[in-house]
Amino acid sequence: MSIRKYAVAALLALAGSVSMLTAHDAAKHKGTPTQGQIASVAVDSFQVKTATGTVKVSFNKDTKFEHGDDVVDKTHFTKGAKISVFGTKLPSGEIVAKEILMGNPKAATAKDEHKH
Amino acid sequence: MRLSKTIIVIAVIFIVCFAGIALFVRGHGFSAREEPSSAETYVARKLRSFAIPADIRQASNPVEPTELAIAEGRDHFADHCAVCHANNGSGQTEMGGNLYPPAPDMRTPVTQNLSDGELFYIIRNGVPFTGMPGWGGEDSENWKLVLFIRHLPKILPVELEFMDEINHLGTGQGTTKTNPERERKE
Repeated sequence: MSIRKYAVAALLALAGSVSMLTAHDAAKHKGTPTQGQIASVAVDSFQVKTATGTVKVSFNKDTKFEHGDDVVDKTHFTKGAKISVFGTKLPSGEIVAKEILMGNPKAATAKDEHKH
Repeated sequence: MRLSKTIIVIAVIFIVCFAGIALFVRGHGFSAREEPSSAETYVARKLRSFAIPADIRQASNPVEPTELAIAEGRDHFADHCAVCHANNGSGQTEMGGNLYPPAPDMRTPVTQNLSDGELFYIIRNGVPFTGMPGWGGEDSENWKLVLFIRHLPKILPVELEFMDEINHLGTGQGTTKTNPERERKE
């Protein structure tokens, strides 16, 4: 009985680890995400309509696209999709995305991150 | 005979000096809220500079100063450094202003005149006997921090707002006197 308990605990721990690996990369999160709706799609950027206006969200080879816990291709994101963006804001207001999530992100704030 | 006399004189001088220091410390107490003396500051900075290996001191930043690299350094600084150094690098925070020595105003020549390599070395290894920890970290991230430190004297208000979104420390215009007992001499 006790061995079975340990086996179940080990399986749960393993499942937890896998889920942590595939879920959002907290190391990329600094601050709160910018949330909005994709207004238009270009080759290397989206225009995203937010509560405070429209911002340009650009992406590069390091940008991670996710839908729920799945990593997806950027073509998965189309006009009208609601997204959350974690990234670096440039003084111009443009956001260079590190991670773009479709749907509501899990609670992930700057406190999750401690890379150093 | 003459040698032993010299030894006795040196020993007496040593004992008198030690007793003097002991009496001073005993009567004076200590407080990290005091401003380090200029002699102490001078010696400490010279020692710090002397201790940094020449090859690292002369190293130049391998990361191109692009807008994105500076912004990434800014976010990193907001996340790890600003609690002591303030978002604007003034050092005027509750933590930084009460350290001994206090966190420097990084916008002034005291910091800006350090070489890229010296800044990198200090970020990675810290400074013993101060509040500056050795962060270690990835080299590329540390070099981006160096880029941002160079950018501090001309930081824009909008960038301070971005930093405040991350750490909620305020936009730190460098006017808050956190320790009025200290007169900043830089």
